[in-house]
Amino acid sequence: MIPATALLFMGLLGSLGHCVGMCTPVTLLLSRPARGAEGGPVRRGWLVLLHLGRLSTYALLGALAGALGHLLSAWRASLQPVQGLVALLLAGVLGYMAGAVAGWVPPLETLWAGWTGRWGQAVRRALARPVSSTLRAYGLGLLWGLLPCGLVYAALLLAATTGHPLWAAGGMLLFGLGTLPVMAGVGWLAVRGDLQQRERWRKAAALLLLLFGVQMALRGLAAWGLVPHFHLGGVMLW
Amino acid sequence: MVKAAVCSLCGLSTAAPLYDDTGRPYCCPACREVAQLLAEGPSVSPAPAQAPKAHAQEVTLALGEMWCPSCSWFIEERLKRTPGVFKAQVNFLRREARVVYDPERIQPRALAKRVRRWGYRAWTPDETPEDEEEVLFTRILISLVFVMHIMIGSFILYARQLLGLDTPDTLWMSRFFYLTFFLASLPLLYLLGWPILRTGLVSLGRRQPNMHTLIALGAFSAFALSTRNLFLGQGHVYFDTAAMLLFLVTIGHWLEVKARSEGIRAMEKLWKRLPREALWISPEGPRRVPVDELPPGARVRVEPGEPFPVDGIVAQGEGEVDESLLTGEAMPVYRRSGDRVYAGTVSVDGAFEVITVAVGAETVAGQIGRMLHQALWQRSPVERLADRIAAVLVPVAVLVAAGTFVYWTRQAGLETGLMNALSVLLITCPCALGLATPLTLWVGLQRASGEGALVRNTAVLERLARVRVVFLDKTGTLTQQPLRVSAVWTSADLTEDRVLAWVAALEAPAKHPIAEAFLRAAKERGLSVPQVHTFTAHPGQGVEGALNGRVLYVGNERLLQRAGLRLSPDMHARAERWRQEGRRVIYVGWEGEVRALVALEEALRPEVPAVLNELRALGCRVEVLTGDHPQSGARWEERLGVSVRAGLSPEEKLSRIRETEEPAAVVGDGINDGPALAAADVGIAMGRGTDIAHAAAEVILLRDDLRLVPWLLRLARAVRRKVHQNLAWAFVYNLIGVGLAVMGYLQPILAALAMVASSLLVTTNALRLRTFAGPSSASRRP
Repeated sequence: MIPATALLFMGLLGSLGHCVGMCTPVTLLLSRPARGAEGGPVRRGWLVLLHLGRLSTYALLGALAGALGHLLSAWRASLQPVQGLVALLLAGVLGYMAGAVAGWVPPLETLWAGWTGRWGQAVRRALARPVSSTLRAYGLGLLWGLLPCGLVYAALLLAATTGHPLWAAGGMLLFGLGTLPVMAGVGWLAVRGDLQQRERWRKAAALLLLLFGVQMALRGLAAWGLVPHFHLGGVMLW
Repeated sequence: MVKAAVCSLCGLSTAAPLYDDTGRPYCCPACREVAQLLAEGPSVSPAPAQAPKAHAQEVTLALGEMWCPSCSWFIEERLKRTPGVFKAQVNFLRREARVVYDPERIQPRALAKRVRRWGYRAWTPDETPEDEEEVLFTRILISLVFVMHIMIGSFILYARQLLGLDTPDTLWMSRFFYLTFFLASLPLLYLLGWPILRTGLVSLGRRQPNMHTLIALGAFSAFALSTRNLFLGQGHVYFDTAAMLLFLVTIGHWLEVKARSEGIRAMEKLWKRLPREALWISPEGPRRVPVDELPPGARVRVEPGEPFPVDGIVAQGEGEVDESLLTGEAMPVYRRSGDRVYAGTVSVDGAFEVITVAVGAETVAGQIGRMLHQALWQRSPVERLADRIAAVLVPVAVLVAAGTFVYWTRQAGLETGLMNALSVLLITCPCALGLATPLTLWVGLQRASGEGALVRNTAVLERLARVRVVFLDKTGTLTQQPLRVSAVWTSADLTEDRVLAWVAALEAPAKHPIAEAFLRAAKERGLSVPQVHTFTAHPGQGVEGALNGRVLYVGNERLLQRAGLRLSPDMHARAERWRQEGRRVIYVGWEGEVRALVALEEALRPEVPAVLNELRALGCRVEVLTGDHPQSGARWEERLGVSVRAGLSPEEKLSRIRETEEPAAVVGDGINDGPALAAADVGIAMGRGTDIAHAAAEVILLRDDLRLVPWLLRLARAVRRKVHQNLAWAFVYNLIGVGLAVMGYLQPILAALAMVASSLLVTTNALRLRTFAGPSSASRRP
């Protein structure tokens, strides 16, 4: 499944630059020791549940995106041209995000803050409450997944091209898994109180995102038949 | 009306009174609870109760997630039956439980755990309770993940049907989504459904089923039916209906909690502005003590920028004081020794030493806070009407729903019957009545207090809206304080200063503005005021007192007769001339003769002409009532262009007010007009420095501005208009909605949406009053 691997990579690469930048405050917030927990570090299990909650939201959203894609494909017989359009769109978004990670342009999230500001505020207000129970850890994780996020929306767009709710949900799960190493790392660094290192990754992350964007652009053009497909050892790169 | 009684809190008569422990009757549980609250006083830590056993202890648990008074009843009953508990009392408004227990048999933590096991939240005093509104908000947000999935998923499935895409080869998609809907419904049932179900069950157990019982019934039966259909693989599923229903009802509840907690927060803000500690200049030197521990008359120091911790009289120091907390007036006022200052107001630039007059709940700010709180929980006639309608509406809704269910089940099967009955229940939910009416009145009340007009309760606001006649007292109301001693005329053997000193001595115990004028004049002239031996006030006439072995009389011409004082011809001529000049003449005499005349002058408030015009524009008849001489009354009439009734004794004022048939408001200074204010439909006191709790007036203007009177009338009318609008809306909405629902044209999900939209509409309409323009912007002085 091409979109599935793409989603996994999108999670992996995108999180390097994007999530570290956008979600670090949230991670810090959620990694705080809970009130009444004798000031000890947040429980590892709760951290896992937080991310599980986030992934659940992605999966639920993914199923919807897949169904919408299905609706579109059933209506339009073939998804091929639509997939091409989506890929080109994604290429633009990823390119822009690479610029944002490198610090050349303002992040997407600040651009649309006027639209999503209230929603984001509401979610962040809810997230500001400390994790104090297992159930709440999962609940807050679910909410976390709802934070307005350019990368998630881009991933959903890609997931929609599968045209199948189950595949799309699975793809979004993979995307979430892709973000895990970095997000867990940030959480871990936050627990250790050592965040300065993320500056080092920034340039590399921007470059990777840009490369990924280029791949998407080529894939879009290939879908439209404007450039030939390219395979590398059985895996279609575009 | 077999055993009609009068509520001992709000004074409304009731056919079915409730009684408290001491046997006093109340019209409703809220009144009883407020009375209980007031008896306890506003302090956060309640006084330790009488322990039934020597080793008994008391604890106050904070409670959460009580949706209605039934819940508090439930918790109280269960706590009472807990082993080791002697006594338990749950207060719904305060959200706390006071428990007297046996420490050898049970501990507070175990008690809290028990309450939690019943499905509520409870905290011991050493834990921090959660903010209920915020918990609800988080819960709603988390639910949104699932609700969104179910709603958008359903929408996509509907769209497929509409587009004709649900071919057999894509049937898997519907089934896939029905399965995810089922899974997503489970957390919703836990997060949103359980509190509603619990409330519904508890109220059912109390044999007072309410809307929650019905909604829980509807949502859970929709879920059960859908689950059955899903696993049997036949029929329709209604997960979207169940989810949306729970979600919207919870949002409605959240709006209610939010509105209420905002009201309480406004009150708490007032409390919080009262400092907890004061710098007491005690005999052993200055030290910081909690205000409650200040002895009466304690001397307290306040530094620049600090709030005053007590109500008191400035003993030393001067400077600007920001009194906006009480008066809504942003400009600071100048205060110096001898002036009154109030707790919660802030010294801008002066260092003061203040002699304590009142602390805590007895301060003006404390009394305002208490009054607002009382007003919040008292139900006014309009609210009662809404309650009565709701009380009828719920059983009627159930009947209509039952009828719909039977009819449609026979016509089109169980499912259709169930769904149509659910629509009927939802559409008749009396939210607009139950939520919007009190909210409108409360917002009006808050708006008034924000401008420095304290309205005692929401019932007063309703009466204000009906006022057609406004009686104005002249002195201190139309005219500006302070009165000034403008001339003294004595027989040859006396000096002006001596007369003034004596008069000041005699008037010193009186609280009348005239007395203040004399005291000020004596002070300005640097006179030493002797001590009187006896003192008697003759309302509407003057005072008498013994001084230097003589009985002195000070008062108006009506006092002359009572005291048997003779008036010499040239004194008489002088008095007449002053009166024609519009001055007020005070006679001073002893031993059968008037010995001196004092002229007092009062200035018309600058805002009076505009106020009178505005009152007339509001369609009110204005009449000035005064105890002044008829001659000066005629001059006032000419000057103001309204009818003036002069020479009235307090009794005559009273009968004049009583014989007026139209609803009347009386505006007075709140001290010597007490009976008149009490006799009116609405008494409005210009109440600077008056004792708010004991004032006869129902409206107290903390800001010395007469423009507040027409403004209040306009506000009250705006409030009434909003209430009527909302009631009319609820009526029309229900009529149309029920009609559609009974005929089966309204799906439950649409009915739930309509319900929330309607609630939002009326709530927004009520909240729009918040922006009702203040008096200063509405009627600028010409």
